[in-house]
Amino acid sequence: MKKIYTLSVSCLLVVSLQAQQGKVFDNLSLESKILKTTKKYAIYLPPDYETSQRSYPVLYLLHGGGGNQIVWVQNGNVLNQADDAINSGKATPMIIVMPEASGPKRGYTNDPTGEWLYEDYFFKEFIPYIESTYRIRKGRRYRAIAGLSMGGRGTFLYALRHPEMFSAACPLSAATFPLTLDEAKERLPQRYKNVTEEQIVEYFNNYSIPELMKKIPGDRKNAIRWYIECGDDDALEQVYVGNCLIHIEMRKLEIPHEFRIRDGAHTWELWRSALPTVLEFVTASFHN
Amino acid sequence: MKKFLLLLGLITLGTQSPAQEGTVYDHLSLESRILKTTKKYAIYLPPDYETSERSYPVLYLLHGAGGDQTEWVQRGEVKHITDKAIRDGITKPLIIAMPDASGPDRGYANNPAGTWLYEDYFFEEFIPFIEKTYRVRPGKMNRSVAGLSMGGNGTFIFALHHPEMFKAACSLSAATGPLSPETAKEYLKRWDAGLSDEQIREWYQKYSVLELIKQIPENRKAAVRWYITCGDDDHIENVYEGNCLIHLTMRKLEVPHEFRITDGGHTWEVWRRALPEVLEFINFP
Repeated sequence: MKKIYTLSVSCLLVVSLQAQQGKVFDNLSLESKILKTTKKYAIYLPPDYETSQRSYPVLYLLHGGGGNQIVWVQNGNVLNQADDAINSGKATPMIIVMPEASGPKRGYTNDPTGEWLYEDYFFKEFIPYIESTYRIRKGRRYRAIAGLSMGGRGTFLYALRHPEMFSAACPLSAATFPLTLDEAKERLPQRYKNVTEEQIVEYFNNYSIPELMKKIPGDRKNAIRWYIECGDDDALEQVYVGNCLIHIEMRKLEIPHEFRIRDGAHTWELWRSALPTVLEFVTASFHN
Repeated sequence: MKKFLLLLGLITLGTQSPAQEGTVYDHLSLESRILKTTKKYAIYLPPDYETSERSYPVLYLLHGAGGDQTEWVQRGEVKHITDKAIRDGITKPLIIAMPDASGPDRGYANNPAGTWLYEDYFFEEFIPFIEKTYRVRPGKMNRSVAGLSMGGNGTFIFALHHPEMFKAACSLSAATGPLSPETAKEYLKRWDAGLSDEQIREWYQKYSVLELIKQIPENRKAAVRWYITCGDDDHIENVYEGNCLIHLTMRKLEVPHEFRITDGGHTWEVWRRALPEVLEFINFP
C-alpha cells in the first residue's frame, strides 16, 4: 500500500512539475508563395497550452544578422526565461514566434529592387498562418514585436509601418540604417548592384526610422508602447549612434518611449538579460 | 543579578550600535579669501572614523542648482545609502565632502566675468582645507568627484580641467552647457557678463564639456574613470540631449567611460538610485 501511495505521489509530482514547463519547436516551416520558397520558424508554447483551452497573446521575436529561428531558443534561452517569467507571474502566458529571416537575402524589409519581399511575406502570409495555426488571441492589443540588432531594426520598422498591428515594440541594440538619405545612397548600391536613384529614395522614405517617426500624426504618438535599449559599449556605429539619435528625435517629437542604455556590448549576454524585461513590458500591454 | 546583567547588556548594545553608522555634519564652514566670504559644506564620516586611526579616500559630491550643501544629505540620503553600501561591501569606507555652491553666483566654474572664482576656491582652498582637517588619504588615486545636474556639470569641468587630481568622475543628469559655439552666446546671456564674441569663443574653449572632451590628449584618454548617467525622461533638453552627445563623442574619440540611461526624469529618485552605483564605481582601480 505504501509503495502504491509513494508511486502515486511521485507520478502526481512529475505531472505537476511538467505542467510548469512550456515547449519549444525550432524547425517548423511554411511555404511562401511571395518568396517562392520554404521559410522556417520556431515557436514557444506556454506551460498550459496542451492542458488549457484558451487563446494567448503573441510576441513576434526577431533574430539578428547571421542568426536564424534557432538563436533566440539556443542563445536567448527563451524556454527557461519565458517559463520563469510566466510561472513567477511577472509575464502573462503568451506564445512566442521566431521567424527565420536569414540567408543571402537576410533582412526584414522588402528589398529596394522589389525582388525579395520579406515584409510582404511577414504580414500577408506569416502572421495569418501563425494566427490560424495556433490558438492566438486576435487583434492589435494582443500582438507585440521585439528583436535584436537586424531584428531590432525590423521591430522598429514593422511597428512604425503597421501601427494598427501591434500594441508594443521592443527593439534591442537595433541596427538603424538608413538614418540619412546620404547613408542610403552610399550603402544600398553596395548590396543591390542595379538599384536606381528613384528606388533608393523610395527605400529611404519607407525604411528610415527617424523619417517614419516624424510622420506619426499627433494623435497617434502613443499608439505603440516602445521599449528601446542598447549597450554602452556596442561596437557598431549604426547601433550606438543610431539609438541615441532616435531617442533624441523621439523626445523632441514627444513620442513616449522607454529608453535604456545598459552596461554591455553587442552580445547575447545583453539580449538574454533583456528578455525578462521585454516579457514584462509586453505583458503590460496584454493586460491593459 | 538580573538587573546587573540587563544593564551590562544595554551598555554593550549602546557601545556597539554606533559603529555601524556614519555621521553627517551639514552646516560646517570655512573662510574663503578667494571668494571673500564664508562658504559652507557638509561632510559624511564613515562608521569607524572615531574609533579607528586610519585615513580614508574622499569623494567630493556636488549639489544641483537651487540646492546647497544639505541637499545630498536631506534629499540624497547620503548617510543611509553610504552606510548600507559600506555594510554590504559595495564600497570601502570613505569620506564624502559636499561643498555649498549656492547663491546668486551659483555654479562650480569661475564665472564668465571673472568676478566669482569658485573653481579656484574649490582647488586652492576647499580641497586643501578638507584634506588637512579630516583624515583623508592623499593623492589622485584616493580622490573622486561626482554630482547631479549643475553638480554634474561641475564634475565634468573639474575632472576635465584637472585630470591629475581625480581617479574617477561620476556625473548624474549633468547639465552639459552649450553643445556648439553658436549656442554659447545664448547660453551666456544669463550671466550678462557683456563678453565680446572673442571672449565668448575663449570661454567656450575652456568651459564647454564637449569641447574639453575633444581636447583630451591621446595619451590621457584613460586618465580619469568616467561614469555618466541620465534618466530617459529627463525634461531638460540640455541634459537628455547633451549626455547622449557626450557619450557619442567619447565613443568616437575612444575615451573609455561607463554610460547608463535609466528609467526616470530629473529627479532625486534617479540620483538616489545612482549613488550606490557611484560608490561602487569609484572603488575600482
